[in-house]
Amino acid sequence: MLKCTNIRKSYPGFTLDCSFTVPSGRISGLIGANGAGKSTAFKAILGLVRRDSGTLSLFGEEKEALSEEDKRRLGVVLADAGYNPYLTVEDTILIQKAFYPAFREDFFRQKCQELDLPLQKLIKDFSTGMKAKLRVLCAVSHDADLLILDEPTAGLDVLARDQILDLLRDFMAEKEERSVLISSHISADLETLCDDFYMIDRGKIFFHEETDRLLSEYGILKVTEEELQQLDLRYIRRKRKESWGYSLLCDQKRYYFENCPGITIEKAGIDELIMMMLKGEEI
Amino acid sequence: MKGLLLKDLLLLKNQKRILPLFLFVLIWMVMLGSASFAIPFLSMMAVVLAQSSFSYDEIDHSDSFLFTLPFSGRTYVLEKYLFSLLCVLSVEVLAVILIAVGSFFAPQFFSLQEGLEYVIAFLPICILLTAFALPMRIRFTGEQSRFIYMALYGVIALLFIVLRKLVPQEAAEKLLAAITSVPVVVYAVGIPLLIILLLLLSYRLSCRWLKAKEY
Repeated sequence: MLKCTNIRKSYPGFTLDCSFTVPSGRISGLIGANGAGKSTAFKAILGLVRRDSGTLSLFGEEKEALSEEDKRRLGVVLADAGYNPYLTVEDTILIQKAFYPAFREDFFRQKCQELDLPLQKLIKDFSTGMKAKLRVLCAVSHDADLLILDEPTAGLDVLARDQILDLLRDFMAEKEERSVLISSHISADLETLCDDFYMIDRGKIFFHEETDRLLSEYGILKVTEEELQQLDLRYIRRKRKESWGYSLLCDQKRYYFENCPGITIEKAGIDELIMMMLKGEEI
Repeated sequence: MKGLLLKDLLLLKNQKRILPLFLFVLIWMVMLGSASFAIPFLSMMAVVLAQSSFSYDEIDHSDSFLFTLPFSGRTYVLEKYLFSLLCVLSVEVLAVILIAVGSFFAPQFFSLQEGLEYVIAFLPICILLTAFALPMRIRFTGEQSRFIYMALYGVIALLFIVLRKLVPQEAAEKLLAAITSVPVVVYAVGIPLLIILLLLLSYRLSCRWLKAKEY
């Protein structure tokens, strides 16, 4: 569905240089700290910033720039921008009808009611949660094939986040060939939603893994200095010094469960993985 | 194109507070003796009003989202020209209608013929201003554009003052006589052709500058 190969964009003090793929029927996450390059990567894909080099393949074709038809097949949420705040939701319906022949007005109106989005109020007077819900609703209302979502749940309470994630799950359930590329710094959202995820730091992708594999096979071993000396380090990816010893990130926790019964092994979620990958040392 | 025009027209609703100003100017000009004097002022207001659509596009970075919608850069530029011309034409047509109604009830203040003369004189000026202002606004920020306009007006004013001092009265009268002696048909054909040419140049420049922009 989407393939970025060595997409490069340089600013003074920062260079984005990344490659990743979002296959058909999958939800892929892009995770990274603030300033890691997530938004720049999204903007480079969408043509909002010019790529210095690299190739972009979308819907099976290599693209220099996105055509109107390509954009019609995309649903986009940007972290800090949406429809003009001086428009009402009713106004956006008229605009979306004009831009997207496949815009589903009945669906959109029904969802506005379910999500408590007033049709006649100016968007500037919406709460953060209402604005976020509107952005995602707009992205899923015109039968897009690929959603590109930059921080769609940022700054939201758990209820609003759940409503947005439900919208995305429903979107994926409607057609199995649809795909989503989503960025978020709320790992819990991505763990429940994504099939796989990429980690980005200082403009570079440094880790890619299937979510199921992460949750079932990765773990954090808590060991003392002596235990570390005797441990089989075959499946250890990173180590981090702690006040009581070491935290070790492993990608085969079952091996250690079976062979090192005395060692404490904790579940590794995305947050733990980010900490270990960014702050830990390579073995 | 339709979606972009709709967006700009819907955002124009927020400028409804300008309507009382529109009527105030008209009444003020009536009190000064001729409603037709309102046309130049209102035409300029229309040019400024159309330019405000760029500022609306930039509010809260909404332009970065806007450019993810299905349209090309060329379509965006073309829509801005159409929207600007639509604003200028609408204001002038509205002014003429008001003057026509006024001339029926109070012909001492309202002259339809005079109003039409002003429209014919100021429509090309407004189009030229639009042709200049649009690429400037695409290339520069609102603040920078305003500075450029002020500098330009200053240069033009200075040019007039210098020319008035340098060119002898006799030569100026000769030049004026030469201009007025040109057959009307030359102006009737030449001015629209010149405007179309300038609009095309302006459009190409706008497209080029828009392409260089990042969001």
